[in-house]
Amino acid sequence: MLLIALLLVQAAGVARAAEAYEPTGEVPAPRSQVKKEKPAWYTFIQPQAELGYLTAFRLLDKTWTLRRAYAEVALKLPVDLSKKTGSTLTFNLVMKAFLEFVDNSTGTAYRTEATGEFRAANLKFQSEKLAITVGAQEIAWGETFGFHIADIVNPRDLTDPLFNDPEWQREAVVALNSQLLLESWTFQFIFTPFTRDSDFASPLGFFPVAEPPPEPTSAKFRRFGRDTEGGFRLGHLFVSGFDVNAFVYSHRSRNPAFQLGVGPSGPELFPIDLRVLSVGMSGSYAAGDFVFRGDVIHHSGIPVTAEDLGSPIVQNQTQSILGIDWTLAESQWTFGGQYHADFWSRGSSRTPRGLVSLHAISGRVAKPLLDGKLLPEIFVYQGLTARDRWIQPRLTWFPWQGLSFSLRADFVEARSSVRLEDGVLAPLADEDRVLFWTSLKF
Amino acid sequence: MYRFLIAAVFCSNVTAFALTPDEIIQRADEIRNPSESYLMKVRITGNDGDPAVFEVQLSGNNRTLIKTLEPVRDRGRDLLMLNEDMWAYIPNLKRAVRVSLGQKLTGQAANGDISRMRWSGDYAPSLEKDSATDWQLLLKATKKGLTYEQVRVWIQKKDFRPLRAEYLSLQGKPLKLATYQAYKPLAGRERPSEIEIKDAVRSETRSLIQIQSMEIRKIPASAFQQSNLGG
Repeated sequence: MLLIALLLVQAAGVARAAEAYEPTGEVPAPRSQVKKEKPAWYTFIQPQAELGYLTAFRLLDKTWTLRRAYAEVALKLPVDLSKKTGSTLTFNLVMKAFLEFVDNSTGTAYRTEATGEFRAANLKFQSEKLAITVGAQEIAWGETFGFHIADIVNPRDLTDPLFNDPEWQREAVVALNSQLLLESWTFQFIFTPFTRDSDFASPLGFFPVAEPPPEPTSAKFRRFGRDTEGGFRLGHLFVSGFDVNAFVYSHRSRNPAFQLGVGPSGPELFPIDLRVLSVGMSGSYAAGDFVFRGDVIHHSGIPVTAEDLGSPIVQNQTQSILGIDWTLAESQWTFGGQYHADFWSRGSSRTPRGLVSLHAISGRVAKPLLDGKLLPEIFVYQGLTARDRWIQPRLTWFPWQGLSFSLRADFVEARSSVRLEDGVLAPLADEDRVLFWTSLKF
Repeated sequence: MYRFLIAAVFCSNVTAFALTPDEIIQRADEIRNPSESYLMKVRITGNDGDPAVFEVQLSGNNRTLIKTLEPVRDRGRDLLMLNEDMWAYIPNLKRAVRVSLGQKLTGQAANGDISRMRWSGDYAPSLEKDSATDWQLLLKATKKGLTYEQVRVWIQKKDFRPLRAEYLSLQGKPLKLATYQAYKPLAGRERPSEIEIKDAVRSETRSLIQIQSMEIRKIPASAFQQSNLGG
């Protein structure tokens, strides 16, 4: 009813304006003066930088669990190889440095830990039908949001699982990423000769996660064969607008799985590293204000932590997410809904004992305000067959140019109840928190 | 000499009168932008909010890549349009996400205002009025998913310059009003460097699209692929 009333009001306004309107052709003065052109070198290397600070406050024990400052610098050096064909060669460099303020055991003071990494350091060749990138890079697959199940090419930093922005979780790898891009077909081949370890948080607070032991240089070369990852993706955009991709990727396991062992400082959880073959499909289709999207992926030989923390169970697992987004063109309200279904064998892949399934729904609502300067949004994940609930409200304010302040909270409820078992989010059940993030982009 | 001039004037008038609405629109399109693939830098200023600057790469009338240069907060949020399909590159996901055509770039300017710079091919024109100085044509969409269902345009007879346009709803109600102005040399010929767009309902709500530069350039087809965005 409200919608109809709004439409009627809008229609009446249009009619009145149509009667009153007479084109004048008068030129309005721009509100802002035209800025000075940037120097040629600036346009050429396209420098970008970001400074930021993140801090998180855990509600259960009222402690600051994260104090992280960071700086990022990005450069691009494009070279036109041929004006005739439009071929280009571009050097991309993205460096990120972190300064963590870590609590000492006393809890009253903190020490600082500085780290840095290349988020990208690669050369990209692009011609009429080819795009080849060699070097450190991130490669993103998938269509759905919230849980990025098809995003399997890069290893992950899951030490803070609630901080699920792929930009932060994905770890860049040195890879050959070649794409053959035809009119409606795309073929992508990825080869990663040397992979990185994913980083995990301990699921059990009283056992630390063992650091990978330092290896002699010769051992790193041996890893070339053992740890090489690779696969391909084939995509097709149908005339109807249906965009579908099928992919196969052989990689080291990305999910946290552990085995208890004895480390130099006592019992430690050792991350389990097995080769997994993943096969999947992604698709999307837009119809008017609606966008339909979906990901489905099957992992063969995925390790899972055993209940006794002994040898891991090796399972086959299928994950799928189907979703729909609705964007109102005029008001820019966005509503998204997804259905999640996971299936895996109860025993190991060799001795399966029935199939276990996990079903859930998730939703996202966002509405830009003040001409996009204020963005309130909320993401909710609700388990249907297990007690999983994750509510993540977020408010981002862009007061000036590249300056932003973001306040977000994560409320997780995943402990067992009378009716439902523990959910997949159970290890995070005590991690309810508020996270504040400020950044300045140049 | 006289005979030659008279013949020339007569011939030019015959040519003008003999033009079909399709030909008039094609000639106007040639004024608005080059027929080859090209790159332009566009600044959009609205009543509210920060000015936005985009680098727009166009190839034909169905492939457009819009890179956001300003405001800084939206930098990297590129938009790819292939026919009636659209993808947005989301920097914090580092991947292209399928979006509906309703997703806005900025203020009063709809995506279609800078991504579809040709009327021919998208619209079927019919002549409404033929005055001494200009033609008034009504263009009706021949494709689904276009930003505007109908457009009424005024084309200057002497040089095929588009003067102004009314963007109409399916029912013929004016939605927006565009004025093509500030003609200056761009990519080899005189073209409108500014398009002022007013809301038909709230006339104080307006955007000014300024084409700061335009350059004919070979843009590889691989640049217009959703899996190749952001690189």
